[in-house]
Amino acid sequence: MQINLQQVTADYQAGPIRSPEILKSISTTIKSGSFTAVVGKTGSGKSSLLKLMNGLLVPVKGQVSIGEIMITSENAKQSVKEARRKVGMVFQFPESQLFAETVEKDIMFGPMNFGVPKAEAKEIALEVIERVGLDATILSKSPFALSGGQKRYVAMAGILAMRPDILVLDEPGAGLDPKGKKEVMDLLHAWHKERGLTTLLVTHDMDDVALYADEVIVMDEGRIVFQDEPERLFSEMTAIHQWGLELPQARKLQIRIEQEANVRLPRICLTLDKLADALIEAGLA
Amino acid sequence: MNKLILGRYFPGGSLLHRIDPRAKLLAGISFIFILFIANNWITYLVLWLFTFTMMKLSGVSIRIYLRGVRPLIWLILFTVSLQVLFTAGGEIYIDWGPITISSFGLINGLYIFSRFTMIIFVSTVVTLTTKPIDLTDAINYLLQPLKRLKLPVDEISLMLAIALRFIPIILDETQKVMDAQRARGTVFGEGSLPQQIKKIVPIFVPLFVSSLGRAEDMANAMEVRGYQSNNPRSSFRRLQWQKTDIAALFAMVLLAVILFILRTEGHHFH
Amino acid sequence: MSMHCIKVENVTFHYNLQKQEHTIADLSFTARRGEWLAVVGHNGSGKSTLASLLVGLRMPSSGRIYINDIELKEETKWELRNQIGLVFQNPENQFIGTTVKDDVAFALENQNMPYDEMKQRVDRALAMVSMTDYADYDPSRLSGGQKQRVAIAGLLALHPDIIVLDEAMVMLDPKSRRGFMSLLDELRKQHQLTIISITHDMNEAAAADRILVLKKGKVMEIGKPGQIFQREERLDVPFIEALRRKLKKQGSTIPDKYMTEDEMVWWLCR
Repeated sequence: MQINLQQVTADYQAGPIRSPEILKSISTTIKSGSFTAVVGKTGSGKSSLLKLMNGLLVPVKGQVSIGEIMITSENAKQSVKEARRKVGMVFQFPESQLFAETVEKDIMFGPMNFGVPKAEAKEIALEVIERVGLDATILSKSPFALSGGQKRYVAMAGILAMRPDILVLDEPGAGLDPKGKKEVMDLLHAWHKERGLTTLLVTHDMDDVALYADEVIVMDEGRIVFQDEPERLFSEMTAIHQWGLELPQARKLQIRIEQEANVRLPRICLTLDKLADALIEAGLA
Repeated sequence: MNKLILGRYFPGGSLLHRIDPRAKLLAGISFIFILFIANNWITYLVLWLFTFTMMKLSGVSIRIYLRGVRPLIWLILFTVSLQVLFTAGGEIYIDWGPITISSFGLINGLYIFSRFTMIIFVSTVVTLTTKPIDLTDAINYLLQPLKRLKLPVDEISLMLAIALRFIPIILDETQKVMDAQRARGTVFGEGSLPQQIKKIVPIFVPLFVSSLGRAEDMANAMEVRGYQSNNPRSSFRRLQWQKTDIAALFAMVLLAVILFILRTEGHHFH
Repeated sequence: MSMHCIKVENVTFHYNLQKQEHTIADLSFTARRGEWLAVVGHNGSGKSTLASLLVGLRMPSSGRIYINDIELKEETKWELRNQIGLVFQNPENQFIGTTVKDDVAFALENQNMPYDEMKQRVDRALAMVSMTDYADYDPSRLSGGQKQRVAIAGLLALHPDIIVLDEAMVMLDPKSRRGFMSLLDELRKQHQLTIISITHDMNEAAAADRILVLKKGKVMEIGKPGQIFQREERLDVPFIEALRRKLKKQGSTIPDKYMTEDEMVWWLCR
């Protein structure tokens, strides 16, 4: 499902303090089926961009289209409800949203809010819990009796159970050990491919961008300043610095090797595998 | 929750912001007593002048103060109308048995209305210009004599201070949990009352769980950093009396004296 | 004073006495003054329990822990807490003060230290972590990296010998993580600090002097990063080691031995 933003300006209000124009006249198209990473400094507007996708933030000016659904400041009340049906959002530390007595009820919460009958929601719960790699017996347990990692998977299952067309992820691996993080990311990436979803991922980790994204958006001071393939982003060294970004580990090592050996590898390498291939190809290793 | 003004702090550098919190708290409390000296229109006029001067001095716009009164307006009007309807005396305009509207009633109603709003305005002045933590320090200082009665005054103030630190964190968290449940299809503020109450559970349970976790972490952090509840502690936060603070309290005394001079002797509207 | 500022001798700990399962089972190791020791292991290996034992939040069921040759016991733990500090995983929950400088002073207040000395120590500690400009900030408004700097300042103010980090860098983004690590390393060299860092980031562990691998509450291995990561069966390894293994698998002539980044770059550019 395609996402389209047309000159979207948005404010953010917390208590008596209003931050004007946290997003400044943003226009972009996110292609259906793409896996797009959103990066930028803290406070650059990344999270606000995500919140536009399901109306947690409503544009003051401009319009957001989620497939056929159009969200504007005038029609927000109705359109937002429809958008939330299509957009599944995995927040940072999603396990902190668990509340029900059993895992099953927690997973059924989303689908039933959107009018899925109880029997069907039960079936979905069983299907997604197995899909995220947990045993079906966990369904009858209290979510609070689970380990930290299991809680995260249950929370994710609760989002996948809504069968969204668009998946919006805010650092889904935050706080996990590297192995756990990789498992979470691989699972979401596989789900994205399998269902042909359109996925947006906010992250601070450039290795995630390198491994999973086929497009990357850079935010800076409430504006989109870059949108293209990751390879192109990580070749623009001065701009990267200016936007306060890092390089993926492989790319950083590549640049060091190129400088010290005074050679140029055949292509830009963002992952370990590609760097290993390029080093062998160039006859360095 | 966002509309509540009383109890909020507005950062600023006005004269009132710089006055010692103890002086401000004492002045605020004494104002409530001073209010009862007033008993005629001229004394109320003086009090209103005083109140407006304070509001102006705080550097916060009058509109914010008016917003602070709004949530309490029905309570005030209710009390005022009781006064108006059940006070007899002076010229009578309407008379329905026990219910009368008289000139005394109207005047008394006006006075009661003034008292209420002025108390709200002046306490709002105090809280808007004082950081909550400074108020806690002031309360701690003023309660020190109660230590002799074996009241754990220092512990209570530390508790207050920690609570104050957690309020913004918990408000943030409430927002996050609400957003997460909205994204899962909950629509807040819609449906019948029982339905709305049911929607509180998905917010309340996660908040409760995370607050417990935080409390445990914090207790551990305090212990590791050497906090023992019955040990004597020194204080890094310092309050310092300055000339302006003494002047502020003197102003309150002056206000009281002026009102005593201007009030009507031996004549009460109660 | 002996060269070991931490000595753990046959420590056993279990949460539940009914279960025979030990969270920590017969654990022994030592750490030298000025050493950076990384403790790695999977979730449930007992890493965090070890941290809470080292700072006396929990007491071993059997065995002994010595901090600077003094045994850690109920009677000595308060005194030892000046010598060993703990930084928690979630920076949000370890702050008690409403401003950065108040928080840094918290442990000093608990010592009932006179104001002038506190002031001096707080200023110095904040300067050491380059947070002087943020002294009056609300800690909850800082970034993750800044929060952990403040937490470190809160410990440094006590002039400790040992700092225990309980996954203190998990919540930081890669850039702040590097900045925080180099700050700690600098402080360690300047002040002969011993750092015990519980972590699951292998790139971080690779920078330590020694690594202790915990498995089911036992020491599986302890040694220099080179020794630990060279073993083929270790799957979670730093980036450079993963690359070396990959190259080897692709038929490269790269030496069959753990390399640091410098060593690898040097070998590639030979």
